[in-house]
Amino acid sequence: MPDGVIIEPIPRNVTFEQMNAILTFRTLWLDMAMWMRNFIHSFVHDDPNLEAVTNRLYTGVPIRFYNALVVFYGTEIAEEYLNRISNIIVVFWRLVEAMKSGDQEGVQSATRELYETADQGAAFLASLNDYWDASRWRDLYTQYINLGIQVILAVLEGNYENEIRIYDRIQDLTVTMGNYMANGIIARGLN
Amino acid sequence: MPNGASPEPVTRDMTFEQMNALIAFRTIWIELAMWMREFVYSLVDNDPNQVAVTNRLYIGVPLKFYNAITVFYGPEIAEEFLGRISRFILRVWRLVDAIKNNRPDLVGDIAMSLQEGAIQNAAFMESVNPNWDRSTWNNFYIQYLRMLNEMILFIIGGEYENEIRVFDRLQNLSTLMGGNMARGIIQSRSRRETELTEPIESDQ
Repeated sequence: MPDGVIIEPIPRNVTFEQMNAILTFRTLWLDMAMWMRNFIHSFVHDDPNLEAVTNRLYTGVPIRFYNALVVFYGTEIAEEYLNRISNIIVVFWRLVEAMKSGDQEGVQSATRELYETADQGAAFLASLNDYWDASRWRDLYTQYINLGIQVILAVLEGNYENEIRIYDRIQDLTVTMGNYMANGIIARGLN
Repeated sequence: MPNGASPEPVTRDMTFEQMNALIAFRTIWIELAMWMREFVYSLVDNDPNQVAVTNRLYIGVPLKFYNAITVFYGPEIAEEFLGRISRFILRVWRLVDAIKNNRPDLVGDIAMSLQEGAIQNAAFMESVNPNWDRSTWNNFYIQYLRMLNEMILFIIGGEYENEIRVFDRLQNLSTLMGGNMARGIIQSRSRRETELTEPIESDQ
């Protein structure tokens, strides 16, 4: 479990619908982490699958968030969140590019933008649901970004055992993020 | 949803522990699929992360199965399952090697041993828990092997968009396998609890 991560409590007894929400949002965040990692590897190593992986990350992942959220919040909000997730992916992409080419200015600018985007994303989620606390989301996003940066560094340095250890921590973090997201949906009554 | 795979119905209401079992087994099967894919890539492309990925797949994943199963069935059965998963990974490793090195003579034998292993694994699972129906697991394993084979061929052939589509299906199949495994455990435990709480008939 990543440092500072609080395990999200889950209701003692869960209905079929509640469990589905928990599984859906956990899977979404896991999907995001998995393809982000794959993207970093492909980009750093100029792998021939880069285009396919980028499509899966940039198109596939946000659309899955959209499909999950549209059920509870309608098209407008789901689309807004899709754009925010897409934006995080794009800035992350720029960060990997800058780190790979040793562009310090680019690294700083992308890192700053990444945290700003995360802050705005946290505030947006908090505005949708009383259960979702902006500072909690900011904390989760910050940990996600920090660990993501560590993955890029480990891949660039060729420290692959370490990279996998960090990725396993990201995976644990996505469990917390998925649960927190699902708990918010459950708290507002799944409708 | 993968072709031929039926969605796993889940009990209507679940306790926290039951849900945890469900999530644990789904996660492990998804992990197996994910690291298997990484492994195929690293082997085919001779990636520098090959050793790290192989360790994560060959040591990390079976150990997670062991830890999850030992809670319900004890170390002996968990160890047996660990051995079976490890052998499965080794055979896939040999298969990728053979396909990559264009050795059709070996591919046939390895594919055969993978099929036989799948049949034996399905039988083993049913012997551990009758709710893990042998024919269902046989079907799961066969589909798993088919998709894995497609994925390997697409990676070697450089058809990456198709490879990702197959991997998404493999992930769906993995969630079904994890769901079936958890459901089997939940059913057998519920039955045992019912038996324990039923009043004993007295001779009157």
